[in-house]
Amino acid sequence: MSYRALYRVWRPQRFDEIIGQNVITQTLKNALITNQISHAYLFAGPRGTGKTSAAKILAKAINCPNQKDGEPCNKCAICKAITNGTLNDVIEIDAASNNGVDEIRNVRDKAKYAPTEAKYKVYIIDEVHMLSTGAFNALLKTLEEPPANVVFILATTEPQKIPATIISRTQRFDFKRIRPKDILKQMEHILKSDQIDYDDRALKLIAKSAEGGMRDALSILDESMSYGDDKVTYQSALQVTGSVTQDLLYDYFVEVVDHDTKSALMNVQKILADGKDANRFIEDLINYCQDLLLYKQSPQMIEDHELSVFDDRFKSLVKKVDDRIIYKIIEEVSNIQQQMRFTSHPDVYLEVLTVKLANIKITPKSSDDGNQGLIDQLSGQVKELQSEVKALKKQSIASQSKLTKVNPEHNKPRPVHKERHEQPVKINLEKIYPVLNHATKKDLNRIQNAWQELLPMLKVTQRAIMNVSKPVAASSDGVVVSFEYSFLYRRADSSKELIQALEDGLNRIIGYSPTIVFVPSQKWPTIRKNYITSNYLKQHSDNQNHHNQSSQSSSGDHSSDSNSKSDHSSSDSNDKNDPKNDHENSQPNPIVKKAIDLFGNGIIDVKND
Amino acid sequence: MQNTNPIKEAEFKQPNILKHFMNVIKRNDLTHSYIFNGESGSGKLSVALSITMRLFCTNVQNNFPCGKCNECIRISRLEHPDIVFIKPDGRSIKVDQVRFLKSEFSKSAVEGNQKIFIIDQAEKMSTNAANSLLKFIEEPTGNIISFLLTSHKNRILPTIISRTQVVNFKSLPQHVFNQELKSSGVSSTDFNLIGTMTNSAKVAKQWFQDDWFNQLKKSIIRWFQLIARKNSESFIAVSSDILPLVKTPSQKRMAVNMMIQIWRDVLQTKYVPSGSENLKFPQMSGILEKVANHISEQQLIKIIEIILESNRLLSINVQFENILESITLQIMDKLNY
Ligand SMILES: [Zn+2]
Ligand SMILES: [Zn+2]
Repeated sequence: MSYRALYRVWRPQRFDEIIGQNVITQTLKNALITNQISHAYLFAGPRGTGKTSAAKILAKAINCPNQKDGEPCNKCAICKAITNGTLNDVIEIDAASNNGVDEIRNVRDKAKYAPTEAKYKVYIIDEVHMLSTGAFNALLKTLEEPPANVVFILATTEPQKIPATIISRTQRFDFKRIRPKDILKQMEHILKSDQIDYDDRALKLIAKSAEGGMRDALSILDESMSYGDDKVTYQSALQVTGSVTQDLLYDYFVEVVDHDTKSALMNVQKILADGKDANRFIEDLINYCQDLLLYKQSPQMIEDHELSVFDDRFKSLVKKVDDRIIYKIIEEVSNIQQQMRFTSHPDVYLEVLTVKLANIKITPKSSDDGNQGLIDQLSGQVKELQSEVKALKKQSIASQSKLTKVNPEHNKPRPVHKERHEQPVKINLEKIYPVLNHATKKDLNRIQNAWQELLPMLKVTQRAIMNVSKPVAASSDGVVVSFEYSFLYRRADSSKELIQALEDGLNRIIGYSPTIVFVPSQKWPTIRKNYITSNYLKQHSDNQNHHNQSSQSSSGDHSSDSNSKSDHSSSDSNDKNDPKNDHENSQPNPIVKKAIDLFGNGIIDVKND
Repeated sequence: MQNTNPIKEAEFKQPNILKHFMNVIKRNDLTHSYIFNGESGSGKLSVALSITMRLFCTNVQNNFPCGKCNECIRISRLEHPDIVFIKPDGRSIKVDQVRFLKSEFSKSAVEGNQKIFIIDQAEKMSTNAANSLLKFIEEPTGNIISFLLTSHKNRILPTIISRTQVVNFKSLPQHVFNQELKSSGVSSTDFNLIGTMTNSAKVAKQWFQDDWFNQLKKSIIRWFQLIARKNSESFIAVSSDILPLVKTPSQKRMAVNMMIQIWRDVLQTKYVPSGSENLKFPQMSGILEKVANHISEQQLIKIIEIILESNRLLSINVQFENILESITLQIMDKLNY
């Protein structure tokens, strides 16, 4: 047996070679360069994202006498021994098979002794969540009084199963799913350097089915190569991933949309008779629908971001099919998907699904698309804004005497709802303002970082909705999320299940679940502006001049949207200012400062409107 | 244990995969861990054994193992000391079994330097067992190749799957399986129905040893006819006809499966009348057609869903009698008695 699996051959040996985790590897290298080594690290993240590789590289870099710029040399005896797993001072423990207290006690006893060959003794504990409670306690004791020159690296796919007492004693790194694009690039790199021919479509297919894990991708690639006689053909990739061709998906989709139950059933029976996996077909079908939706919204964006190959037939579907049908299809398909997981009758489920899909009907014409819809929406918005401005003015005048002392949280402006009728979009200012009252740039950054990790945790239908979402403001216990399209906003806002899933997901990633409020993105700048202005009004209600000035600026002006929208994540805001100042200080300055704190520098132009 | 020749069986059931692996071995491209995923009877074990024989055979001919030398024979009987074969002990594969396997392999190979382990029904590994296998699969010490055989890949830990190469075994093409059935003396009317329940002619043969299969089939047909005629006797037929015939869990699954398949035949008749060669109960085509014409799409889909849903209850130990009665009542309700 001489063949070594690609993922073993191409296991990264330097931080630079780890794909898709630049923030982590850079941080680790910086720490090494400045010689700031922690006693314990926690590497958390999905499978195949580079945790164990990073752990071994870290073990080498810590100990390598020729370490340069934070990278190990990989040539000295120490590096080589660590790579081969033969250095006594680097101990790899598989918690999954050693979940007993005894093993960890053993570690504790031995950790006391100084390393024999290397500078540091390094314990790499893989799948650390598998330790028993007793073993965790033993580990905790060791981490509480860390022996000199010992480093623990804990790796896990399930950080939520690790006691907080352990986590708090480690420096934590969250490894992210690798983007399909990066996986694709790495596969291209490997195949080119091994001089292996490949079909572009095959690689894209593999990159998509790998679900963010490099190891998965390379395993599938290996298997495809062995079927394609050491080439990577589209056919072999289809075979290995069990996928069906885009053509077949197109045919099925058209049959279903045309209510041609017979052809759709025959098609699905043929797919199964060809030995395709029913679960895989369901996945492919959902992906196809998602691609259709995304392409409808932004062809450019999806061609840049997704790895699908879009042919003319696909594009013709985009024009032809109503969004609502696609959503219905996704809904039905994912319902069946849930039930199908443990069944011994996937074929029957698929036939039932097919009959259901071919029967989907919608009432013609929606207000979501077409110009008339847009115009209705905009005029509704204008009305709404006008009434809000009026309300704000009235309120701030009426309550000026109280406002000087009271905490703004308990006295948020309440827009008057009576004057509006039949608005296309409802917005929950009562929930948004409390978040804004305590919003900080730091909280926003944290949520934005978590967002990328959050999306893959969602169900496919939910992911389809959330793909176009963006956190735009956050406090320590709340977050405002904006949506690019108002119909998606409406869907999201009415789904309790989705909000629950988001809260659970965030809880897993950042350790708490903030209250989540949605806004449509085209309304966000106005909401934000109104909020800032109303705050301003509250604090300066003694000055009548300011009222006029500010109410003008809040009358739904969109001119600054394009400037401010993309700047939310700019990180150069200053944290010096104490939010308390806002209440006492009577200079206009704090508001601008507050605005910068909340949203970054891009908002500064509000003042000049 | 295994009395037929694995190579012959593999050649019959999975000629492409077998040939593929013989070439992979010739090119020295065999990797360290595989999952064979496919229905029972699709030839997973025979392919795994054929690969093993090819590696150990002292008399390889035309790139295939001879099947006759001492090595080949001991392998086909699962008696070779360098091969460890594990299957579920009761309902699951336990962590102790995996420990045993690992300890077996920490000793150096008894005879040669090659070692093979095969885990049958690998989806039945407990989470602990599966987890403790992880590292071992990824970085086996020495020359070890592992084959995990499963009919439910979805139930295997993803971290294991990503460390292996997955080979999907197609179910036997119907005509190959039919040929097997025919030579076992099964009537051609039953081919499709049997095909929904097993891929193994050996298993099917057992069903026909006494008249059990036919009796069960008749009882389900009678049940269907009663229901189709909106006759509430169907409810009584459950306890008088069907229940006495089913005792074991696998018999229960077969009874429910037949209920699913007969209603699926209605669906087939309603939408693809030209596809009568797919019918599982071809002898029933007359009444199937009548039902298909009278039943609404919604009713039909709902009924199939009812039975599918009840099928899931089988695995959580709901009384079988209750399951069948509830299926019958719900269907009667859908048909507006
Ligand atoms: Zn070195
Ligand atoms: Zn031989």
